[in-house]
Amino acid sequence: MKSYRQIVEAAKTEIPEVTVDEVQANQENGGDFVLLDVRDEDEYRAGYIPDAVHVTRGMLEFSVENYIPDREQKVIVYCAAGLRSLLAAKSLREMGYTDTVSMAGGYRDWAAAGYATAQDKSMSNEQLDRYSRHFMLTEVGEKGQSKLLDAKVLLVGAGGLGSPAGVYLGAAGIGHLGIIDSDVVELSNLQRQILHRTEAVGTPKVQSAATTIKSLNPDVDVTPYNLRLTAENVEDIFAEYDVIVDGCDNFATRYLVNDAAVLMNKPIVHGSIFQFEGQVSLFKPNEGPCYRCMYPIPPPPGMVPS
Amino acid sequence: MLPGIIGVMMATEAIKYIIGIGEPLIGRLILYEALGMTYREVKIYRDADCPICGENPSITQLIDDYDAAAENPETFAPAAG
Ligand SMILES: [Zn+2]
Repeated sequence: MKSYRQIVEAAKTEIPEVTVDEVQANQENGGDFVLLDVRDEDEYRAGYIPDAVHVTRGMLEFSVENYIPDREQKVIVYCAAGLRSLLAAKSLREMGYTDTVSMAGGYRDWAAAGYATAQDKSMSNEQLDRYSRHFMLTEVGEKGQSKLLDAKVLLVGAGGLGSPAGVYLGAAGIGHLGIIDSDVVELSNLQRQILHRTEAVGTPKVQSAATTIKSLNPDVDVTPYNLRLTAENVEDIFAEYDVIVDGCDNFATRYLVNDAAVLMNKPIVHGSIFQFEGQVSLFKPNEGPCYRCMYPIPPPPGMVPS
Repeated sequence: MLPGIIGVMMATEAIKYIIGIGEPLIGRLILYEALGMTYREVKIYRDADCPICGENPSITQLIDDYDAAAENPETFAPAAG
């Protein structure tokens, strides 16, 4: 039987240790290494070293490969005070990582030395619970969720495409969702436009959409625009958003959205459907084609895009 | 149903883009057909002659009336001047 002290002493004979000063100097000189934080979620939340990759000691062996696929990569491991990081670095060696070291003194000494730390936007207990399934996806995590909560997305159209898009964007916790539509909810919309409920028939779509999204997720700040997008208002509205989700149902708006987004350098998530066929793409000005690259001018009147 | 599938794909693309993960659909068009339940991807390219994002665009500001232009497609893309 071994005591924890014996296990730590054994790890020290195998794993080199570096000081916080060495790590800081190395980071400043742009050294090629990954800084790996193996502390628990609540410790990480309270502050971490900028650019550190976070995998808890408990999840280390299961998910470290997702973050550090290259086993030759130099990895500097840290925890709160430098013990768990020794054991974690030893475990990484057993997994075939060839160059793992432990930062002596851990985050405690790093912070005490006055070196740079970072902290993610803090979330309420309710948010931590609400988005907990996102946190299980390593690619999303709390960082990804913070980006969603800070994001500003504009939905053009609260109809067939805007409805499912709006429901999922709202549920996922997009912090600011603008919705433009000048229509009123009709009974014939309800078979597919899932943002709207029977009792909303006769009311503006943007109002019905805002009500549904707010009841789904009160975190979402919804701005309804009960109007038609025009060459006069488009720039003022687009200026407020990072991403345009275009689910409009007419060519005039589709070309207007495209032109304004290209001129203002905003990405458009494009979608359209016709009968049983649908298409999706992402138009990113300067990086890929726009809608007009595919269709310079619209088809003759009478054809409807969605 | 079809709008649900396409709309949720759109939401997925928006979320991927915001978080900065995965392969965005830049230069790729996904075509989904519900009756055959088929799903295809085609590459789409920037057009050097695109009236708005091409090398010598004819549209350098918004056109006045998109509704009127939609009735008469030729007016949508003024000739390069
Ligand atoms: Zn173009």
